Amino acid sequence: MNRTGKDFRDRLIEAEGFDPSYREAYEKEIQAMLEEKVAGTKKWVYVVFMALGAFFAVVFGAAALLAPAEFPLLGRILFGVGAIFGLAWAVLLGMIVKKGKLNLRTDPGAMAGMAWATVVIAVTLFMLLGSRVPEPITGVQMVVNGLVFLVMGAVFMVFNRIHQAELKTREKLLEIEYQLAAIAEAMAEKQAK
Amino acid sequence: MTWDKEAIYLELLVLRCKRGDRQALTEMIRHWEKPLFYYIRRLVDEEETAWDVLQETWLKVLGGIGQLRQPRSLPTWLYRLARNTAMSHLRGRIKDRAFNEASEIACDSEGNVELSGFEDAQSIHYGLSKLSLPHREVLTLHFLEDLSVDDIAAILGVPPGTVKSRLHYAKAALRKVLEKEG
Repeated sequence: MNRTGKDFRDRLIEAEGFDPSYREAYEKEIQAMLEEKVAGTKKWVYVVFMALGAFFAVVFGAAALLAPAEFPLLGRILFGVGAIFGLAWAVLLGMIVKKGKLNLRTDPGAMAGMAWATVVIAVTLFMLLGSRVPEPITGVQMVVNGLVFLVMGAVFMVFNRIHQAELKTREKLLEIEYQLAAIAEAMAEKQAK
Repeated sequence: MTWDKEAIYLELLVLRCKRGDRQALTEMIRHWEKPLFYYIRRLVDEEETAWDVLQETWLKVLGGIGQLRQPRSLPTWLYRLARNTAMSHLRGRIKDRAFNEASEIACDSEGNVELSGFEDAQSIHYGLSKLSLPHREVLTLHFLEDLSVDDIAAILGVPPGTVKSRLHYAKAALRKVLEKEG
């Protein structure tokens, strides 16, 4: 579309009148859509999950610290990881509740990353624990079971990384293309003068 | 901003949205809400409904932008989403047939769809309101985005030949309205 066409389009759009009250209501809805508010029932759901996170942090933390001396070290570390995860979850949800809104750009990513890291660490420890079980069959079963989850997690992460890298590359190329278009436009304007 | 530069910028916006950049979605909404509202307003009678349709369209965009394979097809995709949303609002009040009744017009017109001569935006705006829904819709898309016949066909869900003939007859109808009004 050339500039004349674009100008005409803009004038056509400007010809449309609207009721400010409807527009205001729409703006509010869009704002709410963009920054998901944590209020009412949703707020209490977050509070419940925050309490659960804190509860598991205490339970796992206590288990890690108070387990009998003969309890395997890896098992103790596994409980420790559980406690850290529960605590991190409680802190993250507590911050969201305090802010009163979910940052849709960063918070879901933080939650997913935290869950992924915890699962990978826990499964790895679980497999290590399996290799030290006295009965070899049980140990192998534990390692194989853990391996399935670990492979699934790795595949998911690799695909996600490839996709993100592809998008980033295309974005960078487009940014260069955009800058070139801007330079060409500036040069054309300069020549016209 | 030239149109090409704008096309690159919009493509960038889509990629940023796909990467989960909320700021990019805000920019996209600000860029597209006026033309989309204008289009939706041509499809639905009440202004309040038009705002509701627009808001629902953005919700669908939010959910579906990740699946948009070709960022360059963003305009077609947005208008199609808006149209489908408007149609689901109208279902029950207006028969879907109303959207497509003009498809019965012969499709073999060679389609001189050049719309030069229509320069007065206010008159066109008024004239559009006097046209049938299918004519109003196809002309609005043409005036707003300069979309190709194939793109308009994809939005309307009709063959390109139908779009050509519809544009042809819509232009004639609009001219008639404008001449009548002096």
